[in-house]
Amino acid sequence: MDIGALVHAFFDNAGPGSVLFILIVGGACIFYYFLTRWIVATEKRDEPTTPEEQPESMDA
Amino acid sequence: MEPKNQHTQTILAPIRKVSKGDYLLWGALTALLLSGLVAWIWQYIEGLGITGMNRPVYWGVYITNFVFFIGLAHSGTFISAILRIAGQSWRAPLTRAAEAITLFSLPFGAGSIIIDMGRPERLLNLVFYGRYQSPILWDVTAVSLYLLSSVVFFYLSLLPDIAMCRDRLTNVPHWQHRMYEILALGWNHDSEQYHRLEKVLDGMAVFMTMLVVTVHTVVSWLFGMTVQPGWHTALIGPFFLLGAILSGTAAVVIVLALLRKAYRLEKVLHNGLFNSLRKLLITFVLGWLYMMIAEYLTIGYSNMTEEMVVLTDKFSGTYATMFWSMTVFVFVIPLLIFIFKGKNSVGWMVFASVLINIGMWMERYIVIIPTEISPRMLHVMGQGSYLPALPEILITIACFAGLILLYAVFTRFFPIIPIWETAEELPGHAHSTKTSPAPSSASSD
Amino acid sequence: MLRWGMVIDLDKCFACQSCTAACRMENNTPVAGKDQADMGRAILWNEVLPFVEGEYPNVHTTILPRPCMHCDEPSCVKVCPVQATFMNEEGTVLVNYDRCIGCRMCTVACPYAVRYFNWYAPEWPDALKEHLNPDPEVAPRPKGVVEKCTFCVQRLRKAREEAEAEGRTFNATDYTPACVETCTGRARYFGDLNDPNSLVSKLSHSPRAFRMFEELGTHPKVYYLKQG
Repeated sequence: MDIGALVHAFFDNAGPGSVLFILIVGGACIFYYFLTRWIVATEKRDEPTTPEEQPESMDA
Repeated sequence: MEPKNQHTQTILAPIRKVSKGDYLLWGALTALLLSGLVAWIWQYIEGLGITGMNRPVYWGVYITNFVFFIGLAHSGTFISAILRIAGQSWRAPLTRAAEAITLFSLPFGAGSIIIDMGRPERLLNLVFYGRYQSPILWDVTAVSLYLLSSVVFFYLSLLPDIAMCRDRLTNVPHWQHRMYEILALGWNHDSEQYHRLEKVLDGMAVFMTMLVVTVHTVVSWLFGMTVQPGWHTALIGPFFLLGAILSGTAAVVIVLALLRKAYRLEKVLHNGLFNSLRKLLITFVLGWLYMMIAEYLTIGYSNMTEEMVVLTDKFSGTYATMFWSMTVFVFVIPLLIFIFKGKNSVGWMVFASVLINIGMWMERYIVIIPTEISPRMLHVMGQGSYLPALPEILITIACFAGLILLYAVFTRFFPIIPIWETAEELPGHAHSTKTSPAPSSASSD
Repeated sequence: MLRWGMVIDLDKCFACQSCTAACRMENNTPVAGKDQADMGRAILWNEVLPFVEGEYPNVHTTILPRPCMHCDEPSCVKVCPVQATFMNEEGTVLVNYDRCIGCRMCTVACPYAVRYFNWYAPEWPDALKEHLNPDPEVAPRPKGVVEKCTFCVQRLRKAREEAEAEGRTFNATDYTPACVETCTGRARYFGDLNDPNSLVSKLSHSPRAFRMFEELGTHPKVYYLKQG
């Protein structure tokens, strides 16, 4: 597999950029939603939905 | 159990009533906002021809506003995220006031791009046909993520205070109380909630800091990635970033002074805060001077033809008046004030901060326009010219009015000082507060 | 693979502006009117720019006809966020008017200032309106989008169609943009730069040949032959 050609295709074409954009922003939305729920939820302290605590992980 | 804060009453006082003066202010600001909206509709129907833009000045005041408002937005994140990481506890009372600037100026920054578009109805093409080689897509991604994260960061730190509003403000109109109920998300001041909230805010602060750097660097790369003289410099990113933090911090000074006056918060927003901001501002103003010298000395010394055309235009040509007054507004006068007059004097601090922000708007303008006026084809095309037209002026005023309006309305419904962050005691753990709101802490200056 | 390019002999150009006029008629660029033109709003895909050097009495004037350079490494294509501007397989840089969002990043990025923005909906006096080129590929562009020289790409299509109708193979010399065809002094040459035997290819290797702002690395496909 030619990585160079893949990178080139990603930057050059219309479309892949949209996918990345939607992934980043959409992923952040979902992440923040669960983060907020986790902070507020105190009843179910035994099984907290523990997403990763470092929001930077969304950056990828 | 609520957090204990001796100033709770003072902080919540502005929320209890909406005065006639408020309605008057809101009405005036809404009128300005509407006039901008009318101008935009007019521009949408007629085309961008009704602005002063032309060839080769394809970008004008709208893009200047975009850069400026995004820069202004950096105040909040700087104060609340960067200073949080640095463990600067004095910042606690002003975090929310600063973050609110971020939150309310970002929409006008992002909006300026849409206003500037020839076909705003095709905005979604960016989502359907996004192409990552273009700096515009870097911008769209960074600014969207920044806006989203700012909303979350702001909202999370507001949660305990909304819950306090819900519990304490029982005599507000029904809809308003209902709003608190919904927005509080059932917050019950549980110690575990506070524990988690602190943890998340600390984590997010790191992420927000990275975003701040990214966002403004990427904004500058709209210009830096082209081969145009005056824009094509590696320094443009850091330069824009530093300018953003400078104008943002200066904006915090203005906002704090206004809030203090309007809502009688002198006890909470004590003079010490201004003295701390003063030190920061001195650093940033000097940093800005350093960037100026690094940038212009490099260009001037190497004496390259196309670059020199733009440089002379700024130093002694069409934009000389603006350039030098910008230097005086951003650097000379503020520095003198900060050093000799600013200590314990809110009035002087505000004056200097207003000058800095006027100067920073001019700086954005001066980075963008002179390069376009003198394109590479200058020797054959001749110099261009640009003057903003009426719609551009109306829309610019509307953007500022909108920012103030959002801010003014927000402060009437939500506490602008974070009660829980300035509390002496938080539920559960005997949380020794991150700040001591007593003015005595200020005298360390 | 074909790679269209142009050579302009500055010795032969005498600034008659017929290329500009031919381009306007061929490509339906709108009439801006004097006020708008003074503001720099005129749309001229091809321009003839006078470049005066020195002061009287030692004056030297160069005339510079300037179409789009159709760079091999175009600054405009790089910065377009939606691929509204793109390079086709034969190296010609075109604009998709239906997709352009009007952000004008390409117009500020192009060092040759060849890209034009539709500040208003296009307009023509009635007399001219009747004589618009009916070809759908040059249908008037709506307001708010960017447009530029296309090397008269519609003529290429027509030339191919003609060749096919006549049952012969398409030859690079069948296709000429309007400015080249009309040039009074025959200063313009057009053809396939990839064909080493074509006239443009040979002229582009002439010792007189140069390209504008070669130092920017845009690799234009429009060559000039130096005066003198």
